[in-house]
Amino acid sequence: MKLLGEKSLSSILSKLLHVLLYVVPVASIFIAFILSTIFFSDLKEDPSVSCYAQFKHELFSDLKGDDKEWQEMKKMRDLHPAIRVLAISLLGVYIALLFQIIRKSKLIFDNFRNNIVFSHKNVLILSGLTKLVIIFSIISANFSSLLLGIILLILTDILKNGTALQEEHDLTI
Amino acid sequence: MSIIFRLDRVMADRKMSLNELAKRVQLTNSNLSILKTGKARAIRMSTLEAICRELNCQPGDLLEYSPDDENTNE
Repeated sequence: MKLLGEKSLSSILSKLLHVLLYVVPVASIFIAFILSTIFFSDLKEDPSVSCYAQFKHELFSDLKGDDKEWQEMKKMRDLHPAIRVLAISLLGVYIALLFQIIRKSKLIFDNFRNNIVFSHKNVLILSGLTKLVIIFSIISANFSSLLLGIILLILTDILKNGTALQEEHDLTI
Repeated sequence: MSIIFRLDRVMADRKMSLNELAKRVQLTNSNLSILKTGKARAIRMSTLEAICRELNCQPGDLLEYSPDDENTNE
């Protein structure tokens, strides 16, 4: 399978990331809504009061008092309000980072689709992507994404050297 | 770079235009322009040979070393 150019793996990945670029914000708004419902609202509200109360009633109707998920939810609700706000903010940062990672990956694959590989633009995008992945791995305490960040760091340097060689080649008449 | 490519001077002496030389040495106008403006990083022996052949000159007529320009042109 072709890796660069039209109808290649890069082209497929670019399209996939384009879809994800719209899915992530919608999904994050939904998750934020559910989490704020769990964290800050009254779960025992009468469902006939409002649509929102009815939604909450349907959302939590399957959970009973001795259910493990219900206990987990109660535990989260019993947290200090500052910690709950911090958790929501952290989730916001997490989603923003994820969005930026997807956006930058899409830009890279767009360039690969257009057969632009060794260019300063790609070096800058990949360098930014590497930083984002490393920050993401630190926030999520994920070793595998830290490893990915280190690999991307090495790839950035390779791309940088490749770009210098390409420039040298282009300016050799 | 301290090496200056004096293509414009030799071309003027021979009264040859950029388009005509580009056709004769089978280079694109943009590549020849890069050579003329001194933006080129390197020149192939085959290109130098073709330019010398068409302009009827020596490589020394085209290339000039100027240590003073080392810092200004980079």
